[in-house]
Amino acid sequence: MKCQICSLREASAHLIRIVHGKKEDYYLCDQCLNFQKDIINLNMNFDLNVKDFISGLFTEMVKVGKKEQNNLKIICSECGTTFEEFTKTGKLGCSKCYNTFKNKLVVLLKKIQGNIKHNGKVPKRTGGEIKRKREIESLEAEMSQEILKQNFEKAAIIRDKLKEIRKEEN
Amino acid sequence: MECEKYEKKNDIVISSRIRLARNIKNFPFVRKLNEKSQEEIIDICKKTVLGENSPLKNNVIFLNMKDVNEVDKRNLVEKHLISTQLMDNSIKRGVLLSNDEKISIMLNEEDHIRIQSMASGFDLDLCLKNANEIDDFFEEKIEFGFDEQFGFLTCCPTNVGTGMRASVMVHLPALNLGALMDKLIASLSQLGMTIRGMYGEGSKSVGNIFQISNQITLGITENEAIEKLKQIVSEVIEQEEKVKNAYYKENKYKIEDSVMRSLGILKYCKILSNQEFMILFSNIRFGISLEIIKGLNFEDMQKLVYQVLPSSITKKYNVTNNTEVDVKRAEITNNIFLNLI
Ligand SMILES: [Zn+2]
Ligand SMILES: [Zn+2]
Repeated sequence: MKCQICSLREASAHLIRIVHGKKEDYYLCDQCLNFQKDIINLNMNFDLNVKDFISGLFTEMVKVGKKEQNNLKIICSECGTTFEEFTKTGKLGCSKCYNTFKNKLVVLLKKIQGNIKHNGKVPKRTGGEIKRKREIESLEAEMSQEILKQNFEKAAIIRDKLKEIRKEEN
Repeated sequence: MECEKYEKKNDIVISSRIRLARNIKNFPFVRKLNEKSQEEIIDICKKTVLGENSPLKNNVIFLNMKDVNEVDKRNLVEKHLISTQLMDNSIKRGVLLSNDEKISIMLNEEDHIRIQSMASGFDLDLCLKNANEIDDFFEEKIEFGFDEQFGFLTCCPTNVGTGMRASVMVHLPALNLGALMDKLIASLSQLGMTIRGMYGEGSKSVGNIFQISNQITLGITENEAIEKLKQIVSEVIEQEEKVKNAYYKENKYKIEDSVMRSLGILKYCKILSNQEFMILFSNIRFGISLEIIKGLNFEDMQKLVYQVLPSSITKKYNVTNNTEVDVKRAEITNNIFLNLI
């Protein structure tokens, strides 16, 4: 029997999860089992949503397994980490890995973090620019809200604010 | 807010902690670092924290992990000052420790830098403030790996973003007695929090002590994460209080009996394992919060927990044999509790 995650290797482990008092069986290869264990241990101890999370991850990974087995061989040019290594360990090798595996990571992060955009502290060095961008983004959102509510006067005020911020930028 | 009502109330919350994970730009993460770069990372951080204009230089010491003996290492782990990962010498590792043991900066753990700030009681704001100050100071000297979309880049994607884990250690005897922990665990995880035993990942609860921490590091600010955790912990405290009082009302003699028996054992036992100690400790703590036992405070009790750790006893009294350690532990608790009225 093939592993239910990667469909590449023979399944060698039987993973049982009890969700809502219901037993669920998964047959996995050693490598995929380790990855699951990592993810579960790190994030989702006892998580009720574990079922959704795992099955979501499953469909994602099965796609990888069937359609683009080559994905596993994607390699970070900076540190040499392969995508396969990442699925096995759950760890990245360097900052550049975030770029190399960006598409895959975005899917994973959406599942484990529920969000894919940093909103916290910004280092002072790079900070000014990012803070301005954040401000522009939130003003833009505010503006479209006002337009939706047909508050065109308010929208115009925000539009002018945006203009000014953009001018400063240049 | 309700949170404020419970802040600094330490009969349930034993301690608070904030951890920030950071990596230095232009170096691979620790697992891909060669030996020379491992040393370089340690050097850079050491120079920064112990350097001329560092606000920390006078109250922080550096420990090179390869020079720390096994007992001391174990003691640092048991006091939550370093993680077990830092004990592994296959990579060059170190820790910068403050004298009051409230700050610990682990070097070359999973990430280059892990700033930890601890406080006793329920005080996450203080922890964040202290951790942030150190983070800012580092940042004046070092450029961190940071990405506009993903935030602070960490080895494990579960930390990326703020790189912040906030946690509180709580003592929940009543909820545990009432077999309500499963319910609590389930509802907490729905809220993006985890609850674990005293020693983190996968560890079992000892003496009804649990650790509650945030899981989400991406998409929310540090303050939002902390506020959310504070709110949830406050709700847990409220539940514990409610169950505790109801339980005591219904089982007055049973509870008083178990508290006083525990006190008796601590006074007169001759051999005491750490595990038994933790159970008795939990009962005594319960007794203090119900005012069955007076003249003891929670902070002294916490000091005692650290004092009777196996590694602390071995370190201080130079005894290694299990029975000898357990005899010593009994002696220590006899002395403390016999002096009570
Ligand atoms: Zn597999
Ligand atoms: Zn890489």
